[in-house]
Amino acid sequence: MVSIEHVKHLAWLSRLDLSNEELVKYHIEIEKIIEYLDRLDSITLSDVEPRYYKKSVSEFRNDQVLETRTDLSKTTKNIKDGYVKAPKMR
Amino acid sequence: MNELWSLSAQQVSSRVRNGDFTIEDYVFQLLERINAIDDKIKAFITVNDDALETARKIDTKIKRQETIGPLAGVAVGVKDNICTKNIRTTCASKLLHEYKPPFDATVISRLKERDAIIIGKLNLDEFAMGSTTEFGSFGPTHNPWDPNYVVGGSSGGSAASVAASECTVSLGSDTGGSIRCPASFCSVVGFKPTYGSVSRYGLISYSNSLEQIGPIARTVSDIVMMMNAISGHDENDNTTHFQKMYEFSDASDLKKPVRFGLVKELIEGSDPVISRLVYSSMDLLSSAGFKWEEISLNSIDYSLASYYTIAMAEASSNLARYDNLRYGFDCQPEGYEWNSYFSTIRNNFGDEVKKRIMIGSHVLLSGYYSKYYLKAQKIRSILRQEVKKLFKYIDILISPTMPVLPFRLGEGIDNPMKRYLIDANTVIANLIGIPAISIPTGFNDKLPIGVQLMADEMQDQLLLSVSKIYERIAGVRRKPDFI
Amino acid sequence: MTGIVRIGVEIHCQLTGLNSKLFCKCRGDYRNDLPNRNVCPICTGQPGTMPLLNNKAIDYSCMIALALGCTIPSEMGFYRKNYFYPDLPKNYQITQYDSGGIGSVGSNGKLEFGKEYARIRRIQLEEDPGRLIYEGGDMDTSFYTLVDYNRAGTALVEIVTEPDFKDAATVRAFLNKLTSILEHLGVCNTKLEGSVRCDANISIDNGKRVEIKNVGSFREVEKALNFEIIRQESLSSRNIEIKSETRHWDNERKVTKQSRAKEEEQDYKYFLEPDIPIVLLDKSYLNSIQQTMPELPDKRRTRFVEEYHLSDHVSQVLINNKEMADFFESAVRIYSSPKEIANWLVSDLMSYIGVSKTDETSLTDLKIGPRHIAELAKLVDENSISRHTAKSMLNRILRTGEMPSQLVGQFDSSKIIDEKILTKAIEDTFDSERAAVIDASSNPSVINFLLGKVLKLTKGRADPQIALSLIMDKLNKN
Ligand SMILES: [Zn+2]
Repeated sequence: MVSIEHVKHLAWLSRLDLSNEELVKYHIEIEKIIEYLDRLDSITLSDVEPRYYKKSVSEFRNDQVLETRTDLSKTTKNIKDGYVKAPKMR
Repeated sequence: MNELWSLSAQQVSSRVRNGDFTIEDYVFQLLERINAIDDKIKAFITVNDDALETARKIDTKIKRQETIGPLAGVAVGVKDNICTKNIRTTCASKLLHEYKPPFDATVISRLKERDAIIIGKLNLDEFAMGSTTEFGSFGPTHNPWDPNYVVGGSSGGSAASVAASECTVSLGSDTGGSIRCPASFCSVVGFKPTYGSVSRYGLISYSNSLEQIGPIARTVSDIVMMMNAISGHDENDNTTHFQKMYEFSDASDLKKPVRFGLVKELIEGSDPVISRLVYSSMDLLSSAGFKWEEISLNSIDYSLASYYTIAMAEASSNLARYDNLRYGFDCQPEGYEWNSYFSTIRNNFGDEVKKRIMIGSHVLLSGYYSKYYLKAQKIRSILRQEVKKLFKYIDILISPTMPVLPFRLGEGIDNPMKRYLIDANTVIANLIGIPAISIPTGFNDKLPIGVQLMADEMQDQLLLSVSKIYERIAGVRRKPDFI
Repeated sequence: MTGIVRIGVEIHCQLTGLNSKLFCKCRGDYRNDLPNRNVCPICTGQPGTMPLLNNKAIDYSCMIALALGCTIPSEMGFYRKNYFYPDLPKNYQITQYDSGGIGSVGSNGKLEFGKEYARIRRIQLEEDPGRLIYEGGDMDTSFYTLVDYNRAGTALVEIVTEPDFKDAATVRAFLNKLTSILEHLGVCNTKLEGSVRCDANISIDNGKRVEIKNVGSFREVEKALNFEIIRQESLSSRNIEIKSETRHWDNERKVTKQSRAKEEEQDYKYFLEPDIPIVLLDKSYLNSIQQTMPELPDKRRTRFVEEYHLSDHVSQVLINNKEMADFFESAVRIYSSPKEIANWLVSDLMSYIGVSKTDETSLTDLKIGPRHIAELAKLVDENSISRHTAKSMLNRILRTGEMPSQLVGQFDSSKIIDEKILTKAIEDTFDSERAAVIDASSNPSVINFLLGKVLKLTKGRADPQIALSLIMDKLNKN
């Protein structure tokens, strides 16, 4: 069971401003999908280790500088005096 | 010089070298063709304005007898979630409609270095989330075999454009079948390489641990040609294998006898029309002297749940960055409180994306992490163990690519869970990182059917060699007739 | 009625010793750049980019973990800490965490300082966010925010202690020791603005924990903690419940303030960063780090005692400030008289550093170097000059940078070099020569006139070099 309050919480955590209709519609679909994912509960795997890709330290990048100086004014219109303009914090 | 557009990449590359025709002529014909038919197919989001100019430059090189790259003349369509410098890359999302990346994906620079021509950017489900190419902000792509049917997805534009000969070959990305599904639905070849053999630098992430870039073509030989260009270690992608370049051979000779394993659970779960066709292909393989047997994969029951858990979890985090500050569309933030700005902006995601982000957040919540995400990762590892065991005596796993035939656009759209289930056959390869390919095998009336072959990790060469043989023995090649 | 105070700290230390950022090739030194110039597709979170881990940052973080006596795992991983904030280019931070056996670079360490010690809970390597600037200067009233991503993605090491400190002074002593270690390892120039930041948590009598953030410097940490101890004690003495909360240090008003940010239950939805493979920290790698590690403060102090026969106290004072210890050893290399040189440093030079505006004044800002001190010590040892004269000389050298040997002979101990006396004479001159003082700004030759007046007033005994430089200082201030 997934409550509509929980879906609201998920929307907040995801920063999605859902209308009431959207909330109702998504709630039904999300609940169905989560029910499907819950089948993972029916298998116990306590002794299984997840598998990870591993590399030794030397395989990672060396500490060298390559200046790109990407120009953000080409990808955003929110530029002021070289700064990226963001909303207010309160 | 008519119908140049129907040539394979191999043919184009050798004939432009011989001077049979110029690359400009070829590209011009393709552009005309796109102009004429793409209204019906809607494979393209953006056509590259510079394609002809680039073609002329390579023609000049040929004329001056300068060395040219192995892909000279080959016109590559690119799924619109792969970054192309200064050509907009939208992911079929309103949030990126105006986004022009400041860099080329590694696969794109490799193609350019080899004198391939980027002909345009191809349609997909928004952020590659879907199996039908209906869920993008530019609308659906239509199946070249019947425009009322879906093309499959999410690399629908990549498969449809190759099927309709709007480009020579294309690049797609495959997270849970996104190359192989549309390849099967459009009767073209689609290849997902071993995880880590092709750089993902510049592939806009949906689910990093599952996805790979791969080629779609009309022949296996063209797949080989593309793989030789795009594969190999990349210092910009920490997850690529440390092997400088792969050199794949186009030869179909096998060093040892090859044994096929038909995956029982995947045959049983398929439309009878499809399983009948697969069995008759097995007969053809038998008569060609190949051994095969039915094998069973027990952990398959959990693979889809594992796949969707991981994909959605990673997606919820990957897509957090779309807040319209550093890139995006014109929407001035002044006066907004930041949370409300972010939420307003992000509501421009489509329904499917929003749902997956929310479910992804759910499975990562600290209280649920071991219930879903960790469990899903563990299932990957037992599925892998199981498959590894099979590969001790089986060389190639075989199954239908899709358990269903292409369906009508919009069909079952209100039952997303049912839609998710059709990925059952393809997600296995992504969960364990092995190479997989879909090869056109037949038709039911006008609707294409593809067969999937899978090999062990890093056995891409074996898979491609076997694919060439399979293509010859059981493959089909037709042109869509509606065009 | 003081209760049991328990303080724990979280230190964020930038790895300023690196050339490039943690996950991209932009410069690690983002200071002194125009906004958003030290950026690339990776550190601005452009779609399609992936983190490219800097292997030197792994070396550095292992060095810190070793220096703080931590356990280093054979495999470590990076995690995504998911939360939205406009200074985060990806709306998640790549950091370390411990889950399912894949942990951070160090844990369970211990650092001794003086007679005390603090347990280190965890050390983790992570990326710094960008910088927010509130248009109009205030987070609460500004209509929009400006973001500079130059800092985004630079390498940070976070060091978390157990709540082992009982008062603010102990925290300060711990931080001094830690700073000295970081300096000795060469991983962090702790004198750079914002290179070391400290958050603290504090509880009294096992009460609720209060977090203190936004503390600018180590001196401020002590003040903030002392304020917070008094605040909490005064609350509990009046039976007012202490809330578990986050408070910000107000640097202007010297108080902690309740953060007005929404104190929601944060769920960071940690999971392993899929684009960074697990990092193998095998024995041979750690051995090689161990072997190439620079000498640490404790070892150096012992060596100073044994090699130079300095007292424990003097050695400690020198080593607390790595620059001073380096200065000492350079001077000794020029003229081998360790005790004399140490004496000059500890009892004379140290006070000049302290005199300046901030206690962060660097030795390199002074005109004096190891050559000067070595020579001064030599002159005294050889009885060429008296210690008294030498001290006078030091005073002058600090201003002029002249070599002591040049000054012998011409340096007349009858000259007035005392800044207080000279300043008084200059003030008197300025009072009586107001017109000239005003002219001085447009006509430099008037300065010589003023100097003449000062010399006359002191009957020619004023040291002209020092007097001149004091006159210049005063004119600049006017
Ligand atoms: Zn960068």
